[in-house]
Order: sequence, then C-alpha cells, then structure tokens
Amino acid sequence: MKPPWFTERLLDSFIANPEVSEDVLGDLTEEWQERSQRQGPRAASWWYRKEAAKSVIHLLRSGCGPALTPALFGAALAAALPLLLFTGWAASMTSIADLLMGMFGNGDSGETLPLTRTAPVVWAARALVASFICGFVAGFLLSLLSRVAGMVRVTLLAASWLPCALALQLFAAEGWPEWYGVTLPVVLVLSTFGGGIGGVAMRRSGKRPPPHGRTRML
Amino acid sequence: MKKHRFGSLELTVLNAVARLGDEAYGLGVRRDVSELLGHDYSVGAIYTTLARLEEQGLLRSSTTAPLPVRGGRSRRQFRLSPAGRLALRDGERLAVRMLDLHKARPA
Repeated sequence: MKPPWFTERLLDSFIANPEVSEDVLGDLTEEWQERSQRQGPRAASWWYRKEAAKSVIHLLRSGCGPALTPALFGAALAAALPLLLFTGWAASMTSIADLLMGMFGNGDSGETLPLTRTAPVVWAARALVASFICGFVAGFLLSLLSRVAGMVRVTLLAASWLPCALALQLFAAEGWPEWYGVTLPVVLVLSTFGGGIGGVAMRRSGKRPPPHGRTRML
Repeated sequence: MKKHRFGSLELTVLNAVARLGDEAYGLGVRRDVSELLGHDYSVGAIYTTLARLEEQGLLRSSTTAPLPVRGGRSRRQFRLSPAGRLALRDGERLAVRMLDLHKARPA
C-alpha cells in the first residue's frame, strides 16, 4: 500500500529543494502508514491530501524565497508579451475594420465589413478562449519541462498574469463587455494551474536529481 | 554573541529538538509541538521553521539510511548546536522573567 501518488507528485512539484522534498514526503508517508493501519487506507489518504494542501503555502513561500522578485519580474515579462500581442492584435483588427468602414463603407446603405459585424461580446469570448489555451499550454509546458519544482514556476507564472491582465484593460477596445475585465485574469490563472497540474500528471515518475551536499535555503 | 529573536513556534521547536533526542526529526517534532501548543501544525510549517533555525546556525542535522516505512526515503535528524543551546537558554530566561513580572504585578 502506498499514499496517493498524484498528491505526492503534486506536492513534490511545489518543493524547490530536493532534500526538503525527501524529508516532507518521507514524514507524510510514515504517518500515512501509521494512519492506514489504524484507520484504514481511505481515511489515511484523505488525511494525506489535507496535510499536503496545508503544507503547500509554507513550502511555496519558502521555495520562492529571495528569488521571488526577479522571478516574478521575468515571468511577468514572459507572460505580458504574448498577451499584449494577442490583445493588441484583436483590438487593432477591430480598429482597422472601423477605419476601413470610415474610408470605404457606405453608412447609408447599412453595409458593414465582416469584422465590424462581429459584436464585441464575441470578440471578448474569443479572447477568453484564446487566453485559456495560452494559459493552459504555458502551465502544462512549464510544469512538464521543469526538472524540479514545476508548480513553483507555474504559480509564479499564474501570479504574473494578474498585473498583465489588469493592464490590458487599458488596451481593451471600446465597447467590450465589463465582465471581460474580471473573467480574463480568472481564466488565465485557472487555466495556467490546470495546465500545470496536467503537466505534473503527465510527467514520468522518475526520481528527482539527488541532493548535492547541504542546501541552505528551503 | 548574536542575539536571536524568536516567535513562540521557533522557541517551542528548539525546545522539542532539545528534549526529543533521537526522535528529533520532522514528524516527531511536529507531534510534540502540536501537542504542546494545542494546534495542528502542518509538515510544511515545521520544516520551514526547522530550516530557518538551521540556517541561523542554531540546529544541525544529519540523515539516516533510507527506511522502508518512509517509502525508501531517509530521515533527517536534528540536534541543537552550541549556539542553539545558548539561544534556548536565553529564551527560557526571558520566559521566566516575564512570568516573574506577571506574578509581581499588583492585584
């Protein structure tokens, strides 16, 4: 009998230091074994999941540690670029369409170009779908390709979407619905975490690199 | 000599490590501290504290051989360093002084 593998792997991906990972997972496994004999494997597994969730905040905070500010800055830049390009593209397409309409359209006949016929709500919905895909793929790849602490990086990326998404409100084309401003950051963060968790699940259960000597930081 | 300032958790963890001897590893410390303070601390909270104390030079640690009960993982055992012993004594002295002051206050 073993503790829930996915929770174990997910928790492992939140710990930056391989030594601490050994310690924390070892402790949890030891207590899981004891509880499993006393209360049964199902109750022990529930306890394991609850304990893992409680530990994540502490481990994440100490795992980011002094590298938090530069990492957040780098992640913000990395996240801002595609998002700005995408929304800039979406906004400029509507603006260009408006411009063309102004130059060549005939307002009296009621003719419009296809782009201007598309309601802002539809554009916003498309932007959300694209943002979801963007976030999911970014989180998935980051978590899949990180050798250690993939979810720490995914969390930094998810956090860095927030200021970008808020800044994008300034660039949103006129007439876009109000709910877009609220839903965009939520969709981005959730999809990034979703992708990250997917990446953790897809990773081979190979061992982490062995710890090299003493590590000062958690 | 550098003076350390602790919260109650740090002091309790130092105290637990001093008392537990061979049982002073994450799980043992967590149980002891949770029982003493009446709060169920997470593994993450205890290891963060242990790592901080070790970083300050108050604790030392060594790892055991891999154990089957831990899924083949080793156990890290902690012990007080000389600086940790001094810091614990300082903390205890402060606690006693505060208690004395509390008792001496006029009713």
